[in-house]
Amino acid sequence: MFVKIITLCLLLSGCASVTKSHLDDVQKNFSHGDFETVTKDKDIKNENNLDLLIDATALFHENKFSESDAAFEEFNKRNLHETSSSILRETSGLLFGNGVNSYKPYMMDSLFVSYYQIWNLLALQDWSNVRVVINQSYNRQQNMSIEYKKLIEENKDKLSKNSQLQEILDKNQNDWAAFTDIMNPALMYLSGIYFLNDGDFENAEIYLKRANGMMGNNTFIQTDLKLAQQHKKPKNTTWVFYESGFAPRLQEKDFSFYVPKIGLVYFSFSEPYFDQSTPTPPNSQLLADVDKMFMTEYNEYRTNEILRSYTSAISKTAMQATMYNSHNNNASILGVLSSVYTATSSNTDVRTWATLPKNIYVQRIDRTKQNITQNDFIDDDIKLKLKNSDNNLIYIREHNTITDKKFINLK
Amino acid sequence: MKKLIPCAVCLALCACAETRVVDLNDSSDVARMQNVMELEYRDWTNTAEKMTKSMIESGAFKKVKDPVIAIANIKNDTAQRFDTDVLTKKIRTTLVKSGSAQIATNYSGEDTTSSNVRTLRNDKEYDQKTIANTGTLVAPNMSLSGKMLQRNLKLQSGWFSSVDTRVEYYLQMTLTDLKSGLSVWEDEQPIIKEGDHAPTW
Repeated sequence: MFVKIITLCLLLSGCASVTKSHLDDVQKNFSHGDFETVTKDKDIKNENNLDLLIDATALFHENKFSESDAAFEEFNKRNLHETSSSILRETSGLLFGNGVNSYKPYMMDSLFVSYYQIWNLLALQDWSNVRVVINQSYNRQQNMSIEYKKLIEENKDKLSKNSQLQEILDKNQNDWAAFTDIMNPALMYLSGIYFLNDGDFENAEIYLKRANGMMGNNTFIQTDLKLAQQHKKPKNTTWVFYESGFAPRLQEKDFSFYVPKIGLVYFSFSEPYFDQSTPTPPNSQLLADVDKMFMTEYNEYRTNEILRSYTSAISKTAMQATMYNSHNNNASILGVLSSVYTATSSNTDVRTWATLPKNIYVQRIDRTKQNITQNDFIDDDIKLKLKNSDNNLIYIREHNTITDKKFINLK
Repeated sequence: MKKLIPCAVCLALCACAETRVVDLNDSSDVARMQNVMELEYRDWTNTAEKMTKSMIESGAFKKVKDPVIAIANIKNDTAQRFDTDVLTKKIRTTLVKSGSAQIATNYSGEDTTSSNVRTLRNDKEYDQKTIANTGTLVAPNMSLSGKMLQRNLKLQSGWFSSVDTRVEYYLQMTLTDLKSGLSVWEDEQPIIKEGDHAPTW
């Protein structure tokens, strides 16, 4: 029995650091364009939620669009009700730390799944299913906004009963007060461009209005919105989407405070850290600030996580004290075991979809007025493709050593 | 006795997991199929039947001499991926079987063999008498287009009810006379479902 407990504890103790090292490796592979290493010998059906997302993104960068779409679809099937939680999940989180649960995607993740699925389907020229994915993303956003509101209300209520925690949180959250968004303007704009080119001006206007509402300073969105309102299709236009940097990651942070009759309680929670800022590409405008999107949602998740760690840490410290003070012959061994359990199972969850970009920029080029060939991203291949193209999209993902470029003709 | 109980439980569980093949010729067996929020066999069959009946009974085919239909775009505006052929195949099968209309398969690119075979003209390997003459392909004089819509509505649900969502599907179809460009028949068939969670993938 003791051996089993120690084994379990040892297994759990590595969770946060193992995750960190795994995600470091993945980011390194992405930075060097080594997507094959990420996806090699992987069976999508057996992948955990997080690796499934990473694999699907790597497949997209490898131009394996159908396989990438299939991987995202597998994720969608598994996370059908992504905003819900279960008692079992909460209990195992309390007992062993949240690292033992399967990766629960952030609400933001599911919108990025839709975003990359649209890119996959556009690259496959599967126009019919692009519309389906946009409809799916709309449903997700509706559910998200309802759940997000609920989460905020619940957390307010819980925190009002714990002033000590509220103090710690207030101090930290002040730094993040600027983060207010939750939806994905890049997904909205891409959807708007699709509808505009499809001649579905009613839907184009809806999505472009939403994108404009989120990114009010982006004049490219405003130009397209005007066209949608005038029921006019753009001509000889290229939209360039640039992705750069990596989305925020999480690291473990330890805290302690004194609780009367129990003693000093140690608990840990995750703290975000950010990738270096990337310069805005020439003639481009910001379309999505992923740091901001992540932090808006994380602020609410974090509150939940602290409350969970706090409850869990108190009960574990209390158990530890009881074991040491019991009159059992094995009191000292039980005490040591419970200490090991407490230390190891207080691990925090540091998993995030680490390959998402930090920023998404957009450039809209009206080729009847501007010379597109002056842009840095234009190479011979794109030049050739542009010759026989009217409206098109160019996807660019900047990595440290390589740049992934995709050219997509719009119908 | 103690050993028998777990065996019996296992057998009962195995029985639960048994695969059932639905007998489509037995209407009561079809009716016993589990209800789902997604579009499924019964929805496609019933809707196609109603649409075809409505189309034939409208007298639209009498307005055009020798009706030949081109299947135009059937837009999937739902949140579910499906091939719209599931629906159109049933409709066109009934139309062809009933002799009401014929379907142009070459024009829409569905089956390009009729065009491919014409490229064999002057190919000495082929008996030229077996190759279709010029001017023999029949162009469509009608087109069938449509759209499938989905709306999800949240419902008030009580403590003991898992029904919290209504999903409304609407299938809209239009038959157009290509000579005049005017619609000669239109119809809409709603499919309404209530249950737990709307299909979102």
